[in-house]
Amino acid sequence: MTKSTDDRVPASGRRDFLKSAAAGAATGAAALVGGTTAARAQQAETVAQVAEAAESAAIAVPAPTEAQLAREEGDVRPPPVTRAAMAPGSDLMVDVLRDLGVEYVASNPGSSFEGLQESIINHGNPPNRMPEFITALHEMSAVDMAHGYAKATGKPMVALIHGVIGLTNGTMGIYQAYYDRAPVVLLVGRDNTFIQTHTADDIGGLVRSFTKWDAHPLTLEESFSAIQEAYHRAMTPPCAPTLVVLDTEVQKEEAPGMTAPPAPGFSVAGIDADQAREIARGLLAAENPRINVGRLRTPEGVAQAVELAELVGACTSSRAGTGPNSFPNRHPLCGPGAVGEEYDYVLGLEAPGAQTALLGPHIRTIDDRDPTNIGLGGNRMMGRGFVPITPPPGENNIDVDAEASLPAIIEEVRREITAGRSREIEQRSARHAEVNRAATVARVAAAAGAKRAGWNGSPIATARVYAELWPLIEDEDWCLSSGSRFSGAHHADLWALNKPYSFLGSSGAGGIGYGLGASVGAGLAAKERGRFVINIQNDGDINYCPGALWTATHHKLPVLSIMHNNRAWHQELMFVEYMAGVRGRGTDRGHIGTTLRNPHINYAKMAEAYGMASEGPIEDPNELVAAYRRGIETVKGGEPYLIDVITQPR
Amino acid sequence: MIRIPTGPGATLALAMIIGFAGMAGAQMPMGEITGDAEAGKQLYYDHACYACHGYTGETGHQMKLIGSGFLLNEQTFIIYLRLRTELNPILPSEAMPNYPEESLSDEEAKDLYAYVRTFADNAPPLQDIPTLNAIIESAAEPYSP
Ligand SMILES: Cc1ncc(C[n+]2csc(CCOP(=O)(O)OP(=O)(O)O)c2C)c(N)n1
Ligand SMILES: [Mg+2]
Repeated sequence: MTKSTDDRVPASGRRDFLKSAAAGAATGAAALVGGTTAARAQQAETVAQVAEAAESAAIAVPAPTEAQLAREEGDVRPPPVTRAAMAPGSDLMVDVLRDLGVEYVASNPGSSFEGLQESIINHGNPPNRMPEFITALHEMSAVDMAHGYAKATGKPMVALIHGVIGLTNGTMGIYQAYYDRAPVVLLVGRDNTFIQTHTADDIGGLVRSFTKWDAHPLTLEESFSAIQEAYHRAMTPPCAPTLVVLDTEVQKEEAPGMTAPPAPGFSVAGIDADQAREIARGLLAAENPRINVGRLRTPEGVAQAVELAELVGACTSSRAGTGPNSFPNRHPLCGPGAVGEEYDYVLGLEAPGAQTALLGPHIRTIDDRDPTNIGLGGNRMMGRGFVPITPPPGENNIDVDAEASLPAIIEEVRREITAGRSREIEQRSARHAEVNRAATVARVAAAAGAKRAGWNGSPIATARVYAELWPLIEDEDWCLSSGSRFSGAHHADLWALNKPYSFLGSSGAGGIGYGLGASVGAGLAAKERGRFVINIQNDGDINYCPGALWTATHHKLPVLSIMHNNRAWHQELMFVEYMAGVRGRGTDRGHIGTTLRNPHINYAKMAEAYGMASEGPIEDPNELVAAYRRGIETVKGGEPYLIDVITQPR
Repeated sequence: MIRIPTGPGATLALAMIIGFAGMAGAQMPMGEITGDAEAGKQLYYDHACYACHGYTGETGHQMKLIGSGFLLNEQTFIIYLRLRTELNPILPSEAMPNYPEESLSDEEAKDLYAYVRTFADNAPPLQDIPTLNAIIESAAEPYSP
């Protein structure tokens, strides 16, 4: 029995309520059932009729049909027309996803995509593989998973979403992926024949201002190309979520004899050959070139940046401490170089340069997708947190994706380099390596000295939470998935961040609740790749969508969650406390609405409730290492683990 | 009750007191403790001092007893707690929330001071922390991607 969606109408009486509302609509509504694409032209008319009838019956939404009523009350039979499908179109959608390389579809189930869901789990050999259906307990979790996965791999997975209601639940996740330039593909089921409050004429419009592209294909063929286009547009800089609305009828359409079209080729435009030659010559002619590396798009881009730096013997900078896909921060060429070192050619790769900077399009350059004039602050060219896209004028910036430009530059360097230059470069590289290594050791030693503070204290210092992990993971293949600012970001100066996925960075728009879902997404990426994920999990954050714990358990994901449990939305406690002080009253009441006390939440038990192995709360810092060892052993065995740690607030 | 001088002339005087205390703190002997540290501990929690300074004054914005003019004695401590931008535009105490008499009495502030003075630098010397030494050693190791 479906629960009443309106508390004022008891479930038992709801049928009659809906029925009477439906009275005037019965004729028109009958034509809504089923519906191939050919019937869809007619549909608008019938929807209008239903709406009209509903209006005359004085209710706010179009009335449901008899069949809808029956279905909502527990009759799961689909309309007869869809019963005997032998070659459903949704099977071919699965083939399209497979051919694109989509590994996972994260979703909370909804009948608007029952056709596609059934195809994912049953079609294919083996079924439910490429893509595999990942069960999410909340749409925001599903999108966060895709967000974390995209940063860990450089490519999209799919979040499959149920109509208007699922999409509104997923909204903040989409919003954050947008500002984090994460390629995510959203497929949204639409069923215009069922509950009208779950559908809309233009579902994509709900999130248009913070997606990059959306489509509502009307035929199967159009669906295939829309999915392919969504996938590739998501990966084209500026990378961002894209969305395709898939009508239930299209998913269920018969497609005998049809095959999925092959995935079209994909490439991103880079600089032209002349520009590549000029940069290559600049790097080779320089006595001492430097390459600043920002955030590239994929691990392949990172490998190419390393190749180029090694080829020309350039000292580099890295943003690996703040996010994924930057230069390995312990690479011998990464560092400041000698004190007073002069660089006569500085190339920026998604970072400022002196002679040249290659800067791909920023998300702010998408300027035609705010039809309702929401005026999202993130798109403004001003305000706190605003970072100018282009370095000061007078510099030779090229508006082009750096990663896509690297192969041409490397090719030109290889063509132009002489044996004599190579020898010089080798010597220069050795000099840089020595200096950079000494600088790294000095930097780490200074940081380590500062992290002694509160070392033996309880609650446990956040520095110790990170520090004790390092000796246990330094020889392992791991990925730090969670945003780290609130827990001190101690990885940035204590750990080596040498993999493109060493640290996945923050949420994109500062929305809390992202961390756990993104970590589960990173876990999906890690699972088949022999890595494990470390998630330093803030307590406020976990409580938005804790159901993702179950997803990690159910799908056996190697995610080690370590709580930064300061028993508060601590950032907000500090704000409110400050306000009370400024206003000169009640500084002993700042905890109201900002702390998670009375009662304390037991996260080990929370994990246990979701079936996850766990321990804690740990208050004695000397117990950390043994707990970490148990956790690492468990995740290396392919299961998630959670350790509750009571921490200092900051 | 410690009177905070007000009015335009007082501003400079206040700035000088605090400024002097700040500069001289390193050299001057610390003042007498008259409050109750046990009671202060509760106040430290209730007024969320721990929010920025950690439960033991060692984490977050660490409390450095030595060298801080504001912690020199009860008077400088209380004046610092009370100072707001409009009272002291030259050297405003904006880094911290303010704690006026209405929300924290002088007696309570003295208890708080007594508790803060119990804070010690408990950090072990670096050589006694194997984990941090292992981290430094690993920074010297050859690069392995
Ligand atoms: C969706 C959302 N709601 C509210 C906020 C406001 N906010 C900013 S920081 C914060 C507290 C975060 O708590 P937690 O994740 O436990 O980190 P802590 O500050 O305690 O270390 C909140 C609620 C937000 N950023 N996002
Ligand atoms: Mg917290």
